[in-house]
Amino acid sequence: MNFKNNSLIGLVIGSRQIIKNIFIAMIGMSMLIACNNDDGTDTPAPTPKGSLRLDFDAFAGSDDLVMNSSYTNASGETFKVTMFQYYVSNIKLIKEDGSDYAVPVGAEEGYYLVKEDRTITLQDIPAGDYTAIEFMLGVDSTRSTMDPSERKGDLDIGDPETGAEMYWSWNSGYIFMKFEGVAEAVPDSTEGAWVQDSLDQWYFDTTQYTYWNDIYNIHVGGFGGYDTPTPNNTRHIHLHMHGGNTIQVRKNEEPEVHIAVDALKVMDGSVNHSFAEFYQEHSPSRTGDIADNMQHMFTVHHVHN
Amino acid sequence: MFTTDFIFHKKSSAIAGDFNFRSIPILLYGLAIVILGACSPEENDNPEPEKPFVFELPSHFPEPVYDFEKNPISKEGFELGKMLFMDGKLSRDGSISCAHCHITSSAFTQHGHSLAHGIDNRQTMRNSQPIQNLAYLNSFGWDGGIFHLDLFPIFPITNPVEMDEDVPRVLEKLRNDENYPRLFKKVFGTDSIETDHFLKALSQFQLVCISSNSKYDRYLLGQESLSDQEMEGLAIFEEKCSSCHSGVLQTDNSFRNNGLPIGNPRDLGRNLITERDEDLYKFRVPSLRNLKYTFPYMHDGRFFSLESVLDHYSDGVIDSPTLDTLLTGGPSRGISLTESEKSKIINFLSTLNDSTFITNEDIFVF
Repeated sequence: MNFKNNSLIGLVIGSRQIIKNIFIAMIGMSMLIACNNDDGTDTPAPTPKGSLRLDFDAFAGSDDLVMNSSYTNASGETFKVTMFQYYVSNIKLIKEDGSDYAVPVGAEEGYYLVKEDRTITLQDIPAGDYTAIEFMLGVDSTRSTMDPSERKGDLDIGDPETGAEMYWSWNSGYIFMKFEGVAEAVPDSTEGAWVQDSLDQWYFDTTQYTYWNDIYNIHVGGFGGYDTPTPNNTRHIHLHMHGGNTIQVRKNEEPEVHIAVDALKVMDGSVNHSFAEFYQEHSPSRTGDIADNMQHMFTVHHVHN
Repeated sequence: MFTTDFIFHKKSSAIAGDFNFRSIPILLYGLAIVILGACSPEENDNPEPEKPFVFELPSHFPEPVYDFEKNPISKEGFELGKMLFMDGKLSRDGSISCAHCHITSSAFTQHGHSLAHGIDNRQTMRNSQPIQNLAYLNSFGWDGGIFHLDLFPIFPITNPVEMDEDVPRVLEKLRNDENYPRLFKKVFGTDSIETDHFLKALSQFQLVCISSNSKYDRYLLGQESLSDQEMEGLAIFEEKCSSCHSGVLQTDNSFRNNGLPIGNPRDLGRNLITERDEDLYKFRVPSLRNLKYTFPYMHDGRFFSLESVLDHYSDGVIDSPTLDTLLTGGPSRGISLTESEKSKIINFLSTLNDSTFITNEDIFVF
């Protein structure tokens, strides 16, 4: 290191220190201002906080979804479901006056993988009457592109129960929703691979893999692309409480919001997909319709206050 | 936290204008070395000092893309990464390590194979790429589908034709191993073997694999001159190749369709990631370092010699809607090259071979 560099380091460290001091001074001043707000009489009592349970219940139409039992889609095809799971994140609670409380998101919190049914308990919610819930279906691009140390909990790619099941390794990003099962309408097919023989000639080898007889795997993902814009299949869900209902968050009480999630709407909605043509789906550009359909699968069934 | 024998710095050519915050840890490391060095002689009776572990970013390379602050390289981290890189535990049946397809003596490619072979001798879709100077790439794989080096290992581990394993099972095997928990603790302060620690250890090894000691590098640093043939080759290269193979790493990090006849009909290149029509059959513009060791060439390893590669550019370019416009500009498709120009280019390309890289015992696996 030459002298020039050393003095520069001194300068940089020095200016950092100054910035830090200014910052501390500003915090101090803002605290003084906050205390002086009501003429120094008494500081306002902190808002009491409570907790809240969100119950995500998988339905098939108006009944509970039963794995491995037969259902019929809008195209008249019968099918069974073996897996139905999706990420819920960026939850927000909204009051009548439009003010809201955003549930914090972090390395270990705020991202929930709902596997068929799940109760999510939210803590430290400011007490009040909330009239709507918002959340994201999927994982936002900010979190999707963070360092792996910022993606733990349900986003941990090494967790066999959550992240490891919901990740595209070849096109880095989370799978937001998996809908899997069997349907007779799925064409019987053998999937093979193009490989080279000993003379480097390409041929289609059907012996390497055999899948997909009746099996469908609908995977929705795509956060919008890292440096090239690609489809963004995250969706915002807004659920308003009906009939003047509110979610009453209070200290020492725990209201419960039952959310019915109609799995039949994955394939049926603005576009009705047929299992005859839509059964192995792993591409963001082909599953935007499914993400749209899924926006309509959530309804508030009832609230326990 | 700081290791005693670890030095992280850019070579001393750094000038004041170059300075940035990343240099502060360097000073701290340096300080730690001085302080610890001053204390150690009494404790250390062993007369044979251990060779210091030196990790240097070459002064004539651009700023790295990789954020070293999020994963500071240490001797122990590098060694752990190397051990993982060599370990078959990353595969389903223990037979395939990273080194299986990334052999040091072939500049970390799979020697001579057009398409990499994985578990049960299954064939992958593409040619294995070298592990060299990865700190300077902003995406990984021939189609750039993986946007961070730390995330790369998940792909080969889970790919059914490579290692056919999953990440949780790998972590479980490492946690049950008699050595790994202790080694992880030394590097990351915990023996629980978290996903991010596993991935970062592998990155540490790969990041240290820097090839910067070719004849061309020594020429750039003013330490050696190139022959007349090589200089002529360099001039032709700069005129006819360097709009894509640009800079000291010979890549602009873009994806392009260079007019190869379609091989595997399923391999749509960059389009598999972006799904945009304009990205059909585009592949990474690779670095041209160490070509002597990394043959065969192209994403599917179709060319076994540099002559074949240059013949393709002069006479073999096939037209298609996404063919790179740089190959359509002239009177005919491709790049106009005489036989003499080709041989001079090849002369120049040979100056990019770095024999010290493939024999460096620190990173040598086999």
